[in-house]
Amino acid sequence: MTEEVMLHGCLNNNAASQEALYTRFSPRMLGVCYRFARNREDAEDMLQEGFIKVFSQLHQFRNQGALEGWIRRIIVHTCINVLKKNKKFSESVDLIHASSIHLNENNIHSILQAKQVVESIRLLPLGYRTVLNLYAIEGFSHREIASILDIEESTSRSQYTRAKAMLEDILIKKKILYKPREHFAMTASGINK
Amino acid sequence: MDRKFYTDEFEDLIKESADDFKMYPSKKVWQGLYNDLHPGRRWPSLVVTFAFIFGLLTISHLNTHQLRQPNIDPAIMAYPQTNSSGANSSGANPILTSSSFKQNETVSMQQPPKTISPVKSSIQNLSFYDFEDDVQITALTQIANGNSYKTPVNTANIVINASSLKSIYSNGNQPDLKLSQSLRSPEYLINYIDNLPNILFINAGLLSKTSANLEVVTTVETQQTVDVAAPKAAIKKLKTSKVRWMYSISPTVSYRKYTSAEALNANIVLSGLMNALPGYDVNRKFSQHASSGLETGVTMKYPLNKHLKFTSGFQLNYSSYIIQANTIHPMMATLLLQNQTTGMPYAYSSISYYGNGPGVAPVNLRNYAVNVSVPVGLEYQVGGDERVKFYVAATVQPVLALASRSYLLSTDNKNYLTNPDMARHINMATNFGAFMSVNSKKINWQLGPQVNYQLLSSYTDVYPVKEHYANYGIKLAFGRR
Repeated sequence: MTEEVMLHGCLNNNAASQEALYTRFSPRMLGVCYRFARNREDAEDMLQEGFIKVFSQLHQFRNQGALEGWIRRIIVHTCINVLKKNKKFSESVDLIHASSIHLNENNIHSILQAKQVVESIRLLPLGYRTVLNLYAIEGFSHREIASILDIEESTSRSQYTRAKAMLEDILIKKKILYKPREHFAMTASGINK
Repeated sequence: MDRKFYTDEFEDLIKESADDFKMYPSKKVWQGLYNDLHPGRRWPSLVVTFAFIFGLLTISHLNTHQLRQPNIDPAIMAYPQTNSSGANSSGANPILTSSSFKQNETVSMQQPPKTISPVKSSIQNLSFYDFEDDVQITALTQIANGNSYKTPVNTANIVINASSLKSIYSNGNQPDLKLSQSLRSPEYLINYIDNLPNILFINAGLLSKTSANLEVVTTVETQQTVDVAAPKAAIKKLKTSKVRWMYSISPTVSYRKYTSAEALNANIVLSGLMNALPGYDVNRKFSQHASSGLETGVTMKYPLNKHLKFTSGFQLNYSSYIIQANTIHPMMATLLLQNQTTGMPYAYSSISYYGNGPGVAPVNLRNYAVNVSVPVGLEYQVGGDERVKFYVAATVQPVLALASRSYLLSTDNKNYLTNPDMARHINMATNFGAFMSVNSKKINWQLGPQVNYQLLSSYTDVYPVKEHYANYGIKLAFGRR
């Protein structure tokens, strides 16, 4: 089913077209939700809520960009809205609270490459994780993040810096990432070939 | 510079990894989404079920009410004032008892009732046959006031009231056995024959004690006349009494038959995705077994002649069968469908949670269909006596699918997936059966085997595999005699 036919069917509330669209984009979108959510169940709830918005707002899609990008943006905003409903979320993006967070290394597991990175991101505290997701992966600016999360722009920057440092630490410990000196040393000695 | 390079690499790593990351949602997400997007599709089955129950209750109520309608005065009998030529001796207007149809507003008395005078009459040469619960008098001769009148069958209209004349009739003749069985029911409408200008009430107990020469002493309002419309209205009301309603329930065993001849359409075979080996039989690709079903409904029966009845009605049917599959890690599965216009295949892909081979855990998937249908057919009596009769029956049934779920085997035979939009909503079925009919005091019971076969595939023609439900059941039906 072409994207045009699928979109036309979805606009006419055709179940087969809706399922086709859902089937095509849901796996990647669930991956997005999973990075924001606490667990898989929450991620699926976010996904469902997000796709309801996608189908209800599909008439606003103007074919001026990729459909996936448009859907992804709705899904991300849905995830943020779901997180913001949680009182703990507003605390977690608070800088003072975030500074006192320490990583529980026992949660680090060795898993496949892409999933390893995602699971590593999910090990971050909620506030760190959210800012990192929005900035590094979804491409929002710190100003946009500050607006979305109702925080200061400087807070977003700090959250991201700390999140990145913590994630870096996790990835190094999981041997997914190497420190520059270590990396070059290993490359030079042929270990990393 | 190392640091900058490292930072870029790090950010690229997490972005690429995150972008590549996919997870397959569980099926409940789509189900929840589907229910939210199509809320109306959850309700038809409930609405029709309520409508069905309401319909049954209404019909039941009307049926009962109808039987009470002829409010017969037990003390009065009216009969045609005919002479030997069959003409009405009292003129064009027929005679009707004043109290026979008290509730019928169309009766308009042209003259006030006069004194009721006893009339002695005899009914001779009774011959009749029994329609399960109807006694149809095929010929009778009346003698009234010393004159003998022949009332041909097509002009006789006889309603027998069990208690109407019992008190005023006495006759020492031996009971007529043919009549006695069916006329024991009190207050029961026995017979109606078209075109009679008025109504005659005869005591049931009376007839049961008489022989072929039946003598009746009764009272008749000889001068009371009614509007011509009155008997017509009365007759119209009585006409419905010939219709019998039966309520039925039938536990069934449901299974399916697959045909795949069209699945081997050349285009699909050429596409290389369909297994086209000689002897390919789609029925062998599944591990499936029959499951229980249920059929319930109400049937109207109208006698066309002594042995044949026209039947129609309304049925609710649930059929299902089980697919033995295995849960798997969600993955994409593909169906090759056939464009009905061009004949070319095209692919439909969906997330599959169930495999047709090894998997995480065994699971039973249920394919089911909930249908309403309007069967139209015939029943033929092949034997029996007055109390027990044997019939064969056949109907064709236009079917409306209210709800269904079909797990479809992917084209590579490895996975199951669903596509609700491929379900056929209008179908046709046929039903064959034989049953035994037994009369109890007030109820007629029917019991016998039946087979229901779905003529058109459960899926639209885009799906090359055809599925036909077959339901084998024992039907129990009951209704008032």
